[in-house]
Amino acid sequence: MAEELVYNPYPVILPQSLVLGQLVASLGSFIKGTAWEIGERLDAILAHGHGPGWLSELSSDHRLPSLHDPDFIFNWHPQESILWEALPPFSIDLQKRFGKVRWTRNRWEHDAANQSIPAYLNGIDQVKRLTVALGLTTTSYAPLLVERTSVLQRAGGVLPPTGIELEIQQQKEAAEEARKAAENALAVAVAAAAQAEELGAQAAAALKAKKEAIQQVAEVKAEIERLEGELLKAGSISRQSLLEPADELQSGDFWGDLPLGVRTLTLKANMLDLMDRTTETLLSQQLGLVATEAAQRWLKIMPSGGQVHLTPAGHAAGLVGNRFVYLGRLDTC
Amino acid sequence: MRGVIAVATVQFGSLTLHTNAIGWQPAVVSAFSQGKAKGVSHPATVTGPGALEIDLAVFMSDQGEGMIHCPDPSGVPADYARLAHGARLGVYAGGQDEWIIKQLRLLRFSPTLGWGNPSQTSIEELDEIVEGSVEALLINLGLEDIGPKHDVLGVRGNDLALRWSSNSGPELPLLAYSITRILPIFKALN
Repeated sequence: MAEELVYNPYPVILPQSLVLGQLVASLGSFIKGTAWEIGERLDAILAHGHGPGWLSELSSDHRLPSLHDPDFIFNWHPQESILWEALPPFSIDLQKRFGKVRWTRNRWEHDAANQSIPAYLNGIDQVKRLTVALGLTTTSYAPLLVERTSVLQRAGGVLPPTGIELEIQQQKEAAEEARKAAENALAVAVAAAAQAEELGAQAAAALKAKKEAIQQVAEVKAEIERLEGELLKAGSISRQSLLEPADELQSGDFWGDLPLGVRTLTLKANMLDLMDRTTETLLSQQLGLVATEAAQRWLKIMPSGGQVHLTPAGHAAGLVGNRFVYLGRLDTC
Repeated sequence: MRGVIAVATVQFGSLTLHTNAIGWQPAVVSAFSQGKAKGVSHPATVTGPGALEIDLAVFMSDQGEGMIHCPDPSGVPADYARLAHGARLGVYAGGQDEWIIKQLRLLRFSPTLGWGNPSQTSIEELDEIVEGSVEALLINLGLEDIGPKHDVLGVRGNDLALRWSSNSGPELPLLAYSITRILPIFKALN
């Protein structure tokens, strides 16, 4: 015959570990589930014979017992109690089995802190002895609890993780690694940012120094150019202040028997310049445009260029044909 | 105000190369296989002890074929007459604004014959001629590469080749010519 399915609001709770709270909860599910089933059986039978108020007949001290209350169910019910009408025939042994469950419940309800794994297994056994005697469905709780306890003991007290749990754990560990990596990256970024900030400050200082240096260079260059200009101007003034016989000559005039200038230069047609052979420098290097403009003027008289003699006042003479010709003056006022 | 204009002087050995700010001038040159060629020319002068003064120029035709030479034979001292008869150094416009010398050869000048011809040389030999680093001299003027032409140009041959930017100015090819043409004669004569 198929076993009748009985609704029970206290399904078995299998412990996840051997910690005390897990043991209390799991054993409690066995006790409460059993009390519920017994209460249901009592009510089903006794209400039929004694009416729906049968429970009130058992009240004492104006206190109405609760049908599924373990404190009511698990007790040393006296032989004359109507409860036995719904139970197997009274026996001292069966009465004791109720008493042992009560004792077990009290121990785990009021003194759980001093209990142990053997006491837990013993408690399961005590409840099971009653459920077996009464033919209750909660008898099936016992082997489940014992087996789970055995598994937990082999696993060191903690239920070994399932495949899903392992996968989740691995994901968690990976996430943890990622978190650590992210934290490290953040720390590096923060440090880099601090360093960059510092470097930025240094760069800004260097940039400022560079700008100042560039400004100084520009100022020095400007000063050099100013001095060069002054020098050129002074040289020009100095040359023009000198009085020489050639002052009276016009470009293209014969030089005559005037003394030639001691400074010898090459008038260079290819470069529109004058080369000082003694110093091996171009006159444009010394006098700038004064030299190149003079060269251009003088090349009109000496198109192929050649040797010219320059006086201190800047008068130039060059050999044209077989005679020296006055080419002109370096400075044109 | 009339300031000092830009000039360049480059010392090499006992000689000095001079350029000034005259810049590139339009020019027509004959001496190419195709006859006269139009282009631009930049003059220069090399001076040295004993009032040595030799005018030279770098010319680049519109076709990208040029040379360094002494354009005016009358401006060449008698002892250096070889320079008025060939001994030019070819220079070519390459791709990407670069100029190249495909064959930098050293003039082997005999003072007794008053003549000589260019032949293959090396950086080491040129270093001896200038009594220093020819590479350093050229790098200062914009040299980008120098070495055997198979390395520099990727073509057959062991002659020295040079490559530089056309924006570097005229001094580099002028100096290359001065070192391999004028300086050997000067050293041979002195």
